Amino acid sequence: MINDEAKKEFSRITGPKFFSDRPEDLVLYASDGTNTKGLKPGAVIRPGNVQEISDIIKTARKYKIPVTVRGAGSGLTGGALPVPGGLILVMTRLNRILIVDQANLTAVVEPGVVTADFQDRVSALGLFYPPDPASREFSTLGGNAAENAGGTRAVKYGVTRDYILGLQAVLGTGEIVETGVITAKGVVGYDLTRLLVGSEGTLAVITRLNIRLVPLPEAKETVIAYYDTLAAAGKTVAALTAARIVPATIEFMDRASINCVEEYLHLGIDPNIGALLLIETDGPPRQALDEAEAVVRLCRETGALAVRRAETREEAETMWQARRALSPTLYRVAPGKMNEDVVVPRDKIPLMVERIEEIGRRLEVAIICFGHAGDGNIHVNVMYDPAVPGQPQKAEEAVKELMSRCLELGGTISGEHGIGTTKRNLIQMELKPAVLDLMHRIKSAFDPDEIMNPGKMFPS
Amino acid sequence: MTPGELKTALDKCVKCGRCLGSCPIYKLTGWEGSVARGKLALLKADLDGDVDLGGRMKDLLSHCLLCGACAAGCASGVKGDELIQAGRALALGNGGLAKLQSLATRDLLARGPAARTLWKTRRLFLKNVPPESGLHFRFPVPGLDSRRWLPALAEKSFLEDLPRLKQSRTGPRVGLFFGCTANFIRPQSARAAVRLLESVGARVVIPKSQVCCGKPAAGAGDQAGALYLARRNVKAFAAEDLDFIIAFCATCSAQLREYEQLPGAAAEGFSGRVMDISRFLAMQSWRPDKPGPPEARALKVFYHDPCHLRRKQGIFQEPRSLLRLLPGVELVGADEPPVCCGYGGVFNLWHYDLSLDLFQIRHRTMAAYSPDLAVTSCSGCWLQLQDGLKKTERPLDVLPLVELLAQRGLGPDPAD
Repeated sequence: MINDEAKKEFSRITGPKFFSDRPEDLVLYASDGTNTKGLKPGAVIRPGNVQEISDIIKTARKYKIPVTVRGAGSGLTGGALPVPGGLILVMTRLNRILIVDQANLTAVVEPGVVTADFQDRVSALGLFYPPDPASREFSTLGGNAAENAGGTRAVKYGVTRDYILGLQAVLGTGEIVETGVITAKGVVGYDLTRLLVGSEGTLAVITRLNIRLVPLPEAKETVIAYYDTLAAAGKTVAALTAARIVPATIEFMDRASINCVEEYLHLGIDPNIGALLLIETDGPPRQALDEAEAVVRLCRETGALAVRRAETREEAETMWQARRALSPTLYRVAPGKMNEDVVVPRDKIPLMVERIEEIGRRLEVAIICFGHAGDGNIHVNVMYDPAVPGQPQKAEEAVKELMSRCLELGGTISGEHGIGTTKRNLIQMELKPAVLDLMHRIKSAFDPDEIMNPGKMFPS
Repeated sequence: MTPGELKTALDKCVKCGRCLGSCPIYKLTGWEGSVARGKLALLKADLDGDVDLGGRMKDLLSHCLLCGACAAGCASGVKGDELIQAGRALALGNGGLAKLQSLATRDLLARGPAARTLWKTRRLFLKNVPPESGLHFRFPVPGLDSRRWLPALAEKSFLEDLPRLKQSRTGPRVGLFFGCTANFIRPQSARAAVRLLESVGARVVIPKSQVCCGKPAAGAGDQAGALYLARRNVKAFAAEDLDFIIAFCATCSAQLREYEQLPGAAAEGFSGRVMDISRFLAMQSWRPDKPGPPEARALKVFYHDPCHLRRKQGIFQEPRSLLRLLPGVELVGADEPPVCCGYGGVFNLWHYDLSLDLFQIRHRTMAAYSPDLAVTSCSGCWLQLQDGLKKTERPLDVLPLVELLAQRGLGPDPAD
């Protein structure tokens, strides 16, 4: 797909050191967090600045070469998977934090900066960048923005989109544009920033981000509550909302997820526990503590078997480590995983979980649930063995059914992972043809030759 | 590890990317080929016949420090460093040149005839310069970067000048594994180790037929060489009735502890007795002999955690507790998370520039505490820190842990 002439041009743009069609690089950039097998790009390019990216896109357009932008390649829906024979555009060299403006609570960064590195840098200055996908130790801010990553703190602080004030981006035409602002407000023209955030590389390459920061909460408290069933845990969540308590996070794990993480970290959790809630409060020390104590009380009142407030930072950190490592540990149950992240109105969580359990029993597939109870976002993991005949089909059926149930409850089929390749043929369940058609027309304005990450997000 | 076993182990990687956050090399390069996820994918593709790398696998797998940071954080329990080492062994194969190299290194590491000749004739190819200015060859040595600073060789090797040992009857019988660096470059650290062990009442035994631990061979993919050396050591230490086998180099103890897993090493009961000296001394409640003279100069000491001690053996509290016992020593930066020095055994021969860049990262966190002295427990780290520090504006001294403990805790070495 990439002919020799195009290769020469690409190589000239970045220098031969950063362009490669060697067999090893095609293997290295063949997969991502979905662990998809059997795809291979035609070449890999690692630009060093926006001008090079613009030139690369212009060349790709000239030769009609599909381009997939990649940060850490840790996404869970295949956004960074190569189009076979296409070009992978690796953003890791653009990894500078350009400005941290303490007077205005803003920052300007390049897309290859690792999320946790940025968080560490600003927190040393008493500032806070709240979005915290479980991959924050290795995923990049550019990738987080392209997928509109969420995380555990969305309950109180929102998601990546809520912290991006403006962008610099290279369109599918090669044009370099700047969208949005670097001020606290801005209403001039269409909100292209919010359109590009979450566009999964189908419209443009994000090359710089203007980020909004907030003051770092002085204190944090973590509460762990154990339940005999997930439904019982759901009662606590409902009670918290009714009591108008909004902790920074309310995470839940079901029995199967507890077992997986227990096998990895040996935390000594009673294997008979049916579910647990991990709740974090933050703010000024007094407030964080008062709120944590109110949470402990409510957990007790609503039927928790045991509740404890983490005494030390280490104890809390171990629990959060367990939570962040959870997703990959699930592969201990089965080699295949359909990784869904449906959202329902938060009071519908117990109902949704009940329906998921029913689907699992009826179709005889293992379904593991955990996620962000505080914002109704459930990570539903349908586990299967691709080698067993019939199992992948059953798993797919389960996914389809749970998505219907979720939509019936007024939910959405993806809260933070995106659509990518894994859900592209489910998108019509949620979006009406007129809306999909509008999205197509928007895409052609940004990317007239359909070179930007084709085969992602839109149905095949 | 057979190709089949390796394949099964590789399948456990689910490509989540967690290792990207902990790999020191990936953090520098941003290239997927430097991190475990990438290298394991390459190995897998190669074993499955999906890719033809034209014999470059060894070069591709050379991008690894074997520091074990990826394995420590892996949620799927993939031992990245061990798999990459196994991959290097497969890639090395049994070809002619590889075999010749392997035989030559084996002789050197086993202190065989060639090694003994080299040692005796070393003055023929070394320039005669004061020892503190380092090791200088009369001609360039292939594979050794000319910018590298290496310490001078010892006047007499440790084996040529063994200390007189006390014959304690009541204490534990301890076999001392001293390693190549102490033998040829730094005999005073082996002597310090002996004094420390005797100060807690241990009866020290030094088997003379011991050889290199084998990590350089294993790390380079020469499994047969590593096995050969392991068997020699097992034999050397089996002759004595020992309660413990103590090493004071983290890489040596980590490798000795792996002998039991080497098929054919016949090391049953060996690895379990191996212990790093800091853990042994802490266990024996070691204390400085006498409170140092009040005029002892106060020293700000930064302790550098060797990956092979902290990550591979979980030992990091013990060296700190021991250092805190020393009169006049103030431990700084003790809570810093571990940072690899960038040595990585054979890695620094293959990628000297990257290795120096990694040292810079190490140096930054260390220098922030303005220590007077850096201390570590691994000969690889010791070499790397000295080389790196010589190139900085304020070259710090780097001492092996045992030497500082002995100097400050037991007084000057009577042999010096």
